[in-house]
Amino acid sequence: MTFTRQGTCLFRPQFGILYRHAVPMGTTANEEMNRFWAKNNKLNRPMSPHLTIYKWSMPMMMSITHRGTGVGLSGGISAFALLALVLPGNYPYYLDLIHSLSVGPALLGLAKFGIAFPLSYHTLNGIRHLFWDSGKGFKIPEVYRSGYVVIALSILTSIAAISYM
Amino acid sequence: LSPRSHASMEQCSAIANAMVASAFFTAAALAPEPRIKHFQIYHWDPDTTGDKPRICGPIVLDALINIKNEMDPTLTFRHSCICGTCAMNINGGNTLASLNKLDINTSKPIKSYPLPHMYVKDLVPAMNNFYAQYKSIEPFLNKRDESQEGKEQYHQTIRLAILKGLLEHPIYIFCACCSTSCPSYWWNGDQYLGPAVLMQAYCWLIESRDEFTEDRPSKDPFSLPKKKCHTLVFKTSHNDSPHVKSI
Repeated sequence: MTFTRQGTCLFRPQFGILYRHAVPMGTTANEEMNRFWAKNNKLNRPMSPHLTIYKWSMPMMMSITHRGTGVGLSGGISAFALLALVLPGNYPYYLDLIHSLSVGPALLGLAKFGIAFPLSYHTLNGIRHLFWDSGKGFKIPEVYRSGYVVIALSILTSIAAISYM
Repeated sequence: LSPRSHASMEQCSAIANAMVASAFFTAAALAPEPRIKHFQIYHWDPDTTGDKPRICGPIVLDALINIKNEMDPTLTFRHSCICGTCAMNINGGNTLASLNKLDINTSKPIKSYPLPHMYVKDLVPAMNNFYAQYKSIEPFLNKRDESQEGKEQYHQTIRLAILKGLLEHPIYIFCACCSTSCPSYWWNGDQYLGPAVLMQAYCWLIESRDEFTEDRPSKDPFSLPKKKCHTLVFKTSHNDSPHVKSI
């Protein structure tokens, strides 16, 4: 039984008696995969185009934005933590420093949005991801619908956060 | 033009020159008008619930075959009949050339690429890795007691897969459209099994007639072949079945 499951099939059961093949039959899946990669790498073949030709869709863009905001948030928090550790002054000092910068309200609002939106988008899309992890919401119309809801709510909550903070 | 036309190109051009020359003298009937006949073909599938009768138009595969016959015999692509062979990327989406309606708007070109991130010749991808990955999930029945072979057994689990919304049709065609639309499969095609094979693995896991379910290599939920699924949920134009992360 073990031999047949590997696929090399050295023994063949027939009417209760094990017959032995003269040569090992076939290849295992792993052997085939290895041969495939070895041959194609050796020949240095080019790959067919992917990112450059694939039509961008809303789920695609949301997916990469989720990744981008995730990287941004992790990087931002890590950078903040590192700076808090390394910089000489304390938090109120740097807060006053930022307050003293004469930045217009528009730019200030934009900066706040730049912090609030990644947070809200990543959180809301994360909840969408959790639904997927439970196996729900995979039908294509559902994917689009939940996607639009996430985008709308992210923008709304970001604006609310900016307005009230 | 037949494939042999390449050899007799000089003869053809000689004849063409002669024809052009003679055309100046025969002011009347020139080359015959192209005779275009439009086909409107009725289409209705009793197996598809909610299907409405419709007229199907020309498909991209028709155009490709025409191009190969009359313009470029070296164009390489696979095609057969409703089997997933002609899977390719048309206008940015993975689909079957035999099901993709030809857009007769002449202002826009139709971009035809092979399935993304595969080793290819023209529009033909090398499917060996994809098939080997399918082989690795052991897509066959294992019985403890082989004496019942040939006798009728439990009802087919493929119906259960359709009821669960995993498959649309009982016939699964291995076109690889879904796997080759997945960026995780693009970057990790050597280790990640891809949505197509994962779905098949799940179908074999829920197969009621298989008695070695616990031994199946796909049972481990944390192995790399499954872990690389990040639920990116891209879309192929003909397949509404979601890839299953709920394995």
